[in-house]
Amino acid sequence: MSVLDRICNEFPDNPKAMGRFYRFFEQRHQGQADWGPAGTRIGTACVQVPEELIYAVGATPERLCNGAYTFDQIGSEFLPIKSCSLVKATHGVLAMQNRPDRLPLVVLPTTCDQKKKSGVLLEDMGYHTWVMEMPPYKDTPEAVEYWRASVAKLAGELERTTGRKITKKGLRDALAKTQAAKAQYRRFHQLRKLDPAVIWGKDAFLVTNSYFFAPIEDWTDALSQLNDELEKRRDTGTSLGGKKAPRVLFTGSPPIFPNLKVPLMIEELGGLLVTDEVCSSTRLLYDAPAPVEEGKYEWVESIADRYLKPCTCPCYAPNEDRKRKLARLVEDFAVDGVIYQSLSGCQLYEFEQKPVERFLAERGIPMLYLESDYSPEDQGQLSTRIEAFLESLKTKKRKRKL
Amino acid sequence: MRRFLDLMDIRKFRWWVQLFGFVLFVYGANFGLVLDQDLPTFACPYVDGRSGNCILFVLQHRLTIPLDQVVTMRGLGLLMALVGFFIWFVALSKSWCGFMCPMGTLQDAIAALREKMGIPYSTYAKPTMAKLGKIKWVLLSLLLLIPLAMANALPGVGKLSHEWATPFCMICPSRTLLPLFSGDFSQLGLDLSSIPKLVLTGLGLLVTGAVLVGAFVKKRFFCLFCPMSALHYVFSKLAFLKLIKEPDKCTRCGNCYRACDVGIHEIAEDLEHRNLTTQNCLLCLDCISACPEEDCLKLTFMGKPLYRSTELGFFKRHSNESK
Amino acid sequence: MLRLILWSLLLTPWALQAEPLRLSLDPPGAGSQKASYESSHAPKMMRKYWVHGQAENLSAQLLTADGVQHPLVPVQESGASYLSFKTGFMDGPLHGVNQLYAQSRRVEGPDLRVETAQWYNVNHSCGWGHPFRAEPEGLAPKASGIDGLELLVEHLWDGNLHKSTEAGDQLQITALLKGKPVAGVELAVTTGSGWSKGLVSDEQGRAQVQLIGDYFPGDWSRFKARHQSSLLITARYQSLQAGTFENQPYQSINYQTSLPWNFTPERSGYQKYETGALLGFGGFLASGLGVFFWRFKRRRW
Repeated sequence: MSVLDRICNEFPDNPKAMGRFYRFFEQRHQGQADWGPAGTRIGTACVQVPEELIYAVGATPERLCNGAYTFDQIGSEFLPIKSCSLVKATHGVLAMQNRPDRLPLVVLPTTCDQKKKSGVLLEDMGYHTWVMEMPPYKDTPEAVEYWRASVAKLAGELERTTGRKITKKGLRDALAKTQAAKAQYRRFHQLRKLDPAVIWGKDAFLVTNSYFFAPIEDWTDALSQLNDELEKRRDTGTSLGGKKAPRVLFTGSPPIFPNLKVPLMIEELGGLLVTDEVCSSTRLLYDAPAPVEEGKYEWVESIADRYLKPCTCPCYAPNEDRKRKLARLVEDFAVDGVIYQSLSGCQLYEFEQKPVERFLAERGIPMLYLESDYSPEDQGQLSTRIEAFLESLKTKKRKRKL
Repeated sequence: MRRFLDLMDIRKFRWWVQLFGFVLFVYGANFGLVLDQDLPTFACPYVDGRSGNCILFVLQHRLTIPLDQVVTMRGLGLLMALVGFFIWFVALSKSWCGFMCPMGTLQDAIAALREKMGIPYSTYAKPTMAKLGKIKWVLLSLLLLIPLAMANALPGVGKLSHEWATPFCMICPSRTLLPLFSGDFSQLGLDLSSIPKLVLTGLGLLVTGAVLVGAFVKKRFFCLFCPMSALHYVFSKLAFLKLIKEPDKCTRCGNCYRACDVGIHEIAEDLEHRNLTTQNCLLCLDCISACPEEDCLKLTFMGKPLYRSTELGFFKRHSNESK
Repeated sequence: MLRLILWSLLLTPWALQAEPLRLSLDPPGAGSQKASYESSHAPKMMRKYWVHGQAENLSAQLLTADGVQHPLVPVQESGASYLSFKTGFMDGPLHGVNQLYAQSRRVEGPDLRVETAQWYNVNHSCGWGHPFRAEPEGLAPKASGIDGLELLVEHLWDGNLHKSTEAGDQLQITALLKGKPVAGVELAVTTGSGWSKGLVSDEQGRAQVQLIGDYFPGDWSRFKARHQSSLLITARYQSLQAGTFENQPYQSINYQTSLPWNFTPERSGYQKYETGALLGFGGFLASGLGVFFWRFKRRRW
């Protein structure tokens, strides 16, 4: 049974409006592998690539991060065996398709070492890659300047690649598109706060994952419909999972379709994924730039800032903002417990595991740390641990109620 | 009402209030609008049609007071000026700067011109801001001490000449620029009658030129050095209006810092203080309108929120619909 | 300075007869000192004015800005008379003009000489606070209707209650006899440097004169913008009206009036707009270029 079947058919109460999102995945993963919007596509390897600039030159961003085990295995032939599954799968899919013509440009921010180095290998395969230099700190004025310069350089490269200039009008239209998408995402984010919940976390992951490749207007429209439906659910009192279901926050390495192994398992075992702090979901869509003047300089700068300042990627040396963000989410979403997944080989998330666990423990929030990869072999072991964790959360919740 | 406030575009609203303030303080008396003489804003006394007087002018004037006369009618006059200032200030706090100051409005107009021309604005790094921030305190101390030294002999030096009267007014760009709007060019004169007058008016004219350029490249350039801002800050803890930030809700996205005309870094970076009515703050509320976090930044009046940041309002204001 | 005034007065042909009755801050005989002038801003609980000239049957009154006449009693001290009245905080209307009159009457030959000495000041002290902008009505001297020749001068103070008369200004003088404008009054405006100009009032009793600059210290460093030059306005009018005064008959009445004032050098003499505007433009240009090159130097992309 495919992951999509599990998501679509194994759960009760799927909102009707989710149908459009399911179809995005059907088209992409069961039909044409490069399904998506027409026109030039620019591959992006991380959440920090400013999509507004890509839209401004009339192209469409396509997030390349891949979650398929098959491609993970192909990638293993090119990359060190201990690299993380995500990097290997991303590399694998590009190696297998081997169609540099389809993606005239692949943009790789220097987030983690593995992505950095795999980008160089992509170049050998004939892909035209562009490395966006990122500062290892984000708080110093120098870092901000450095990153802004990096974004400006990308703007130049985008202009060269597509042969189109970034104009005021182009930027304004691009921002209109992305801001509309983000406004809808914020609505969605608020609806997920509801207790009892109105939507499953696995559906939420599909919503955010489809942003990687779906045409942005379609996506925004679909989400707006979903939000309308969820609001109706809220008003009629439809709820999911029951009151006892522990509310779980997911953080760590990004789960990317079809690797929704852990999220699905959590919900199949009786938990409720109410929110997440991962770069394939909340971090991707939550923040929005706020230009204060009409002008190219202002727009490009404010876009650059949006990808640096609120970003909670562990690639920044000190990353207190991630802890603060987690604390915020825990409070807003009435979270009972946190599940922290690291993909094996993902050093950055592995490094941050201990401090985050300590931070949450100080606030009385239990955390389960899981190390996993794309292979299906560890399912049994994972499900035992998740089940036990959820049980302990339920007990705790019951005790608190008494 | 709540919803209307949450969604409103404070920048447009503010611009209209500012224009009103400008007309009031440059032409007001011509329409019979007279407020007071101890106003906490640049109601420049060199403008004929003003509807009030800037407290800084009044203070400099009143402080020319021998120390032994402090406990007489003269001292009382000084005290009354301060009381008058405080009464005007206490309700509106620093929003005098953001909404009413004609000099601020003038600078905003210059910045709007720059924006139209497509020229980027400057920003100052935090250490630079800290250094520049001291200048206004130096100016405030000088404008209080020089008049005192005019009335009291310093040991070994004697009294300062009366030619140093109202020293800050003489170098303030409001004196040279605002009268121009009522067709009075006389303040552009260089006064050769004495060395102090020559120094002060000469400095004033140089400052005027520099401020015109400064306001063109840096939003609210003069406000960084304004002793009125410093005087406001002294009393701002007692004022009813406050800019409050909930540090827990802040994502440090920096949108508020971008929106800030004076470029206060703390607004985005400070995670310790709730009251962020800092010394440079103009209470213009632009930061609140640029904040996408629900209730993270708000303007409170005696603790009650008047205007707050909301998600809905943010996306309405920043939807970037084509015009 | 005082001597100069005296000399100049003596030199004007019609004034040959005697020094006119006038009020001064200095007692008579303080001749060699520089004439004092009155600041409208310094606080004073009591003001005191000495009567100069030949005073007989001296009477005095004060007209405050609210239009009330206050009779004053001249005080004798060491052979001279002075007038004094209170100018504390609540004495009289705030920030309004005080008009002081001293009158002497005597019969001299065929004439009854009615000599009036006037003085203007503003009931104001900075310590009381400034009105936002002083009311022009409060600062305009009013006709007192006094039995004699009276002079009204316009625009003597600015809105901040500073004496605002400058060299180059047109002095607008109105002569009134018993409160009514009178034509044909011989006026003379005499400055401390000795310059004098004779005038005759028109049908409305009005006359005007442009003040000359009389302050040239030579050395720039000694120049004072607030230098006060003294000024004396005198007026004379002959009325062919016979009568008796204290059992002495007379054929005509000779009215004489004096009003002292001060004026400062003209502003355009020491304030240079061209230089100032140029300096401002220089500042503009220098900082503009500075910013331009700074930005050019660190152009990033």
